[in-house]
Amino acid sequence: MNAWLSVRERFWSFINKIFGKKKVKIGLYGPPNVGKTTLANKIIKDWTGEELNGISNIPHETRRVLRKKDITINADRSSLKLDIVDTPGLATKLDYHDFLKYDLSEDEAKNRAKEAAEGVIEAIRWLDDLDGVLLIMDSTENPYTQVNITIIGNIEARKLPLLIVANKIDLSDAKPSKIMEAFPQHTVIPISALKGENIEMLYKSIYNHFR
Amino acid sequence: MPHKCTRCGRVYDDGDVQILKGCSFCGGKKFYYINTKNEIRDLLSNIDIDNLDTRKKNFKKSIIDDREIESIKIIDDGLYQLDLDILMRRDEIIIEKKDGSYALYIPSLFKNINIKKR
Repeated sequence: MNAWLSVRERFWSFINKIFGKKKVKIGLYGPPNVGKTTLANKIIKDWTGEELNGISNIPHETRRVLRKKDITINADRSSLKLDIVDTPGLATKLDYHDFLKYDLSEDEAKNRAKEAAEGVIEAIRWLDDLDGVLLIMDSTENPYTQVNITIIGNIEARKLPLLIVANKIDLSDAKPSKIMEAFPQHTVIPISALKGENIEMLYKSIYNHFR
Repeated sequence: MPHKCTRCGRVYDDGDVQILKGCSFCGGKKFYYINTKNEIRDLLSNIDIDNLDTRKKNFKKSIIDDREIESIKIIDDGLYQLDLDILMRRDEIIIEKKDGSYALYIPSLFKNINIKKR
């Protein structure tokens, strides 16, 4: 039995060497409220048919790392198996006052800030365990932020494959070209995770970039 | 004369290849000369001799700030300041509590804990 396993492992290792990886772990990173969970849900729904919750207008809705394993995406007559790791929004400052305007009590808001801080640490720890990163940005916001520049610098230093996703292109004030100008050294894919706009191009890019 | 990128402010030495290729940080193609003589003249004219003591204090403070080691600062309940760069670069997590004391966390305690599998 062990001999058979060993032969099988060697066979797949040989196949992977020739045709590239067949399973990759991709992390969805970015500042809060840029649509990371919306995109994770879109990918999971498109390729598994499952519905996932956990989206709201309140920043830091995702405060724990969530992982969905074995999502197979197909492109160009070939397929790629993904583990999608949806992470909490990365921020440099967490202030419970920001949550009070969303009708949360003071205790709830303070607890949310604490959990969000824990979530940031957990998200960063996960970087050690990934094969690639989708960095999500809001096309209606200025891309030259400390968070974006720090994440990109660190991912480049780790030599992790990176795709930048310029989300929310369905909004009238979206300017994905600003993100392209800001980070010309990386591929930027403009999409709307909510409306599904240009999502096929993103799937093709994921397949080409991370396999 | 050194050249400064007009977009991100990164400075390159005279004759640096990146000036021809574009800024290695932001990709910007526009640079301007930095006239060091003018810069020194501006710097000198800005020194306020009457308030040297305050300047000294500010200088000391800036040195202390540069040596900050904490990855997370708890300013108050529900108020946190996170240094993403330190958190991403270092394995250890140093937390400055609101009373000024520090707590050091062993990274293995945080690694991949409580992963909710869907």
